[in-house]
Amino acid sequence: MADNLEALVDANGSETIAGVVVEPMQGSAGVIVPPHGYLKKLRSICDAHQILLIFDEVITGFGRLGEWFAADRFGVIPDMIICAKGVISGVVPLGGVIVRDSIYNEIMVGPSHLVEFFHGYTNSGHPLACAAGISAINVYESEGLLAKSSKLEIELEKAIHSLRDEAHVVDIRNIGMAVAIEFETRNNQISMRVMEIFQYCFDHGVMIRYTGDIIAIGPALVCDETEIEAIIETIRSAIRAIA
Amino acid sequence: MSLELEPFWMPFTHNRMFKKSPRLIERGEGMHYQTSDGHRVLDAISGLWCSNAGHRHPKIVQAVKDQLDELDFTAPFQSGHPKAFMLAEAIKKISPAGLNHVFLTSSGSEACDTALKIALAYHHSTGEVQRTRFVGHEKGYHGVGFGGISVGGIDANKKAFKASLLPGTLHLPHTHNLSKMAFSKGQPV
Repeated sequence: MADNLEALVDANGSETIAGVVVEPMQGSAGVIVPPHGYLKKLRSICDAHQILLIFDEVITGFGRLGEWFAADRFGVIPDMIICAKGVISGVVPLGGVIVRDSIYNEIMVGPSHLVEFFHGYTNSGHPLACAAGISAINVYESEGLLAKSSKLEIELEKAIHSLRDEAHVVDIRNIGMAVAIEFETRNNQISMRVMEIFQYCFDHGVMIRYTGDIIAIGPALVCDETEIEAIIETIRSAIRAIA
Repeated sequence: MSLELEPFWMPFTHNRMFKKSPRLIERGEGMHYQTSDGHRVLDAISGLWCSNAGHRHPKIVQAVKDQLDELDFTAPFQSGHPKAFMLAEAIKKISPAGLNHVFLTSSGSEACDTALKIALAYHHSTGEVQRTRFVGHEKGYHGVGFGGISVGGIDANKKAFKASLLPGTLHLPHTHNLSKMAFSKGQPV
């Protein structure tokens, strides 16, 4: 599958390609988990052609996969990591790009009294966001939430796959604290079934997410097993209540 | 409570349907929300994949409150404050080896567009000015900036903007093969 990148590079000329941007696990599309070896192969093709590899870890970063980053989980180091969401535990808006030394150093050139990179936001490094981020990282470390996430992953996997034989379920995908259940489309109306499942769950005290014909769940790392059970059983009841 | 719903244009939402029958969250703590009509809801999605430490974690809340007692805002250009440097160092310490510099933004969307500009600036500096194209994935989501939707692969997010996307962006097929991978646990083979 990663050979597709080689094919694209051959067809278009590697010398025109600046970078490859991928989510190590595609979250918004419904928890699409990379096959074994896929990211390693992307890394080696990028290396061969001096193409930058950029991991979008907005969802996968900060413990969602039981490690600080998917790069750690999958053993592949990109040239840049895009992050947000978990870095501040949602408390104050913040995002970041973590950059390899060689990229930074290449841009830090020219007369030193002049701006090197003409880019930045009014709220880059906002004091409240930084305070939240420093504290969130500290909480993840001091409360052992990454290790907790790894343990919970096992429970979550077992629980979510127990829905396999429920009506209209066509796929279940999981990694870390990220799970998706894909359903058959009903009457060619994309999202109708999962919207009803979402509403049922909400009415019965559980907030999930839906997109296309997929429902997704991604509980916080402070979750416990009874909460995982409550989530799964509410989803099960929803599936059984909805046509 | 009488709340005027119409002026707020909600993001990624069916505005008309929602405003007929709104679901409003008013409070949050740990794994739970409380709605405007007093119902308790278990948050199974960490807000939107964000609240990994749960809602209103007391240490994070206190850190923000303490910060408000010191400094609310200062110019980020040609001036600095210690917390930005401390956060960048904290991120560096937990990042993979060799990734030692952090550019801060207000969102993932901004971070993605920033990464694309950093990549272009890098190649520009090395003299490889012809390296201007990016490769994304089908079904990829990289926020909603013009850069992010260009490298992203979700058609609904790009449909109305096709004439204004970054030129020459390429897309890899996504890796999901339902017939071969259905019900995989963790990484498919």
